[in-house]
Amino acid sequence: MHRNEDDVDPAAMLELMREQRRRTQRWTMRNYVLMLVIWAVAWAVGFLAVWSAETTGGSPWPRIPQPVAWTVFGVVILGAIVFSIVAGIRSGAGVRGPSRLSGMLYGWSWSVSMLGAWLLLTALQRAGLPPEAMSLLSPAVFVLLVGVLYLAGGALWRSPAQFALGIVMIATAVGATFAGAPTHYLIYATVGPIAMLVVAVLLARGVISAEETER
Amino acid sequence: MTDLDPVIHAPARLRIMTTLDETLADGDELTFPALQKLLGMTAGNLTTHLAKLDAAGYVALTKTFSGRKPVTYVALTPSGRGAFRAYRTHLLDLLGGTR
Repeated sequence: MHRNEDDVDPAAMLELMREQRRRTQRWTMRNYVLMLVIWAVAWAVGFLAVWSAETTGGSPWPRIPQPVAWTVFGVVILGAIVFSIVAGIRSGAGVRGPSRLSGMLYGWSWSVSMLGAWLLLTALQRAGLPPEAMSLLSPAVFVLLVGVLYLAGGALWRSPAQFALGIVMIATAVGATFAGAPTHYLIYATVGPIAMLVVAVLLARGVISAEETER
Repeated sequence: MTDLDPVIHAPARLRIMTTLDETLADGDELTFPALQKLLGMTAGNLTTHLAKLDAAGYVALTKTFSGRKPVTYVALTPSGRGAFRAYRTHLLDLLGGTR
């Protein structure tokens, strides 16, 4: 027998609505979760490599040659950047309108601020800032900016989770710089990735929402 | 008789409306293939149900071109969003649940 559409059980419809909502949220945040995991791995591998470097590292275990350490660092960070750009562009695909614009501008704010930081650090190096100071300042500037951009992202998408991650990032940059070289590399290799993975796991399990959904 | 909005009170259309309400901010539009992927429905089935929602004024369909490829954008109209919220409220009231 064919059932009349009006006879569909309201409780079943409510369940259907909730299930579809969860499914949509998972789809919306899948890129975000993946990006957090990729960056957590990049930070852990990259900073552990420089912490294990022969001359500037601080690891008590057998060290790796200086050029190898920095090559590993460069490769994983560059890989994560390329992945983020691709994921960022793909996450906006299929949508047009005001959200697309804010997403695009937010994406550009990452590119612009990271490029700005890099140029600024290059200028300081040219001005003769000693290598020890550079090794402390360089990661701190980038991580501070990452934190600030997470704060902005949290405000933009009404996401306390992202905002909290921004606070942890800024605290990490400050704490690591106070700890000094070469321990700061170890702090970046552990605290940052752990915070990112915690947020990623909570998002993936649906414990917290990537964005506030009740409007 | 529950007198829930019959345009929305059908599984396929409820899922469409839920997805649009969840994904789109006011003024945003989603392409047909992106919506289809989110719903896991066949193109024919989705077209049929979108036509009913369009006839009720709940969604707006815009046909355009991306290069030479035709693309259909789906938007949730303000009255569609209002109807969806009214439906959700009505449903929760019927079930005596909390929002």
